[in-house]
Amino acid sequence: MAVLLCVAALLAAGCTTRSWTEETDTYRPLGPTEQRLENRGIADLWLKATGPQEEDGFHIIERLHTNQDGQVSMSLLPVALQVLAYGHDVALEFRRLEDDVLVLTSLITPENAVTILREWQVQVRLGAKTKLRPAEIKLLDQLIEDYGDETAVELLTEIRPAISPRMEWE
Amino acid sequence: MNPVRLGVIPSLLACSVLCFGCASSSTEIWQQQDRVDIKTLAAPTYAEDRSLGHLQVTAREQVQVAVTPSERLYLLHEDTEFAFDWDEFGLVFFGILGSVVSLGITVFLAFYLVDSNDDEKK
Repeated sequence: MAVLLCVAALLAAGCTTRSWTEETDTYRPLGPTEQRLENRGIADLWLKATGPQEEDGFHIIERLHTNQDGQVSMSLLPVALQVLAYGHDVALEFRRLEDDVLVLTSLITPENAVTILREWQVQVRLGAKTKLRPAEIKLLDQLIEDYGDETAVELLTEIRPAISPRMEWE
Repeated sequence: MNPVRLGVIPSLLACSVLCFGCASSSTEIWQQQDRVDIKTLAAPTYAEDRSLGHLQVTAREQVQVAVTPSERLYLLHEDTEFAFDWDEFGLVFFGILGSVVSLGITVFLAFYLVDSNDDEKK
């Protein structure tokens, strides 16, 4: 029995080998250093775009993330709606999320707002769809019903079918 | 006691002791990898562009890139450790035990029961 135990133990016992590669910071130069200046986009940067808060609580907040070329893009349709609905310029502020530093301000005037609606009208005629938050859709519907400028109302009416509700998490 | 049998257990123990050995080694490997040092020269700039109902913001920074053709050192570590697998031990132990028992039963049936039946016939 002892021999049997020993044989079984020997067959079951063995050596485990594990290997891994460690990356060091040691370099061995092979040639001269070449230096160049580059103006490169900042990738993976988080920005927060905010508009002014209205008395009824309407507020535009977007979190944006730069791509490999350092670019972010956001729709100006909600901003144009705010400009037309509340009758004043809207200054969109872009802040870096990491340190809350203001990096850019973009002002949208009522003239800009109508231009934005025209651009969206063209996009919609080409088949574009977009999503708006429920508060923004409510604003759009109110503008279609009550807004004084007929041109703007026509533009908004044409844009309306291309809009669907945007979920909270989107 | 038979001297051959006397040596079996110590030799098995010696073999098992050999399995307990541990070893480690590291090998230097130089791989071609350019060294790239990036130094930011100025504060980032942000530019906006409005088109097609969208606002595009571009964040850029001016950097100095220094590239040196070089080799980078990698260390390949290897560790060997003793390992004992109880599952495998059980399988081997009961496998051998089962083989011995089944062989015993076969021998018992073949040479005792069958032979005695033959004797009775005769």
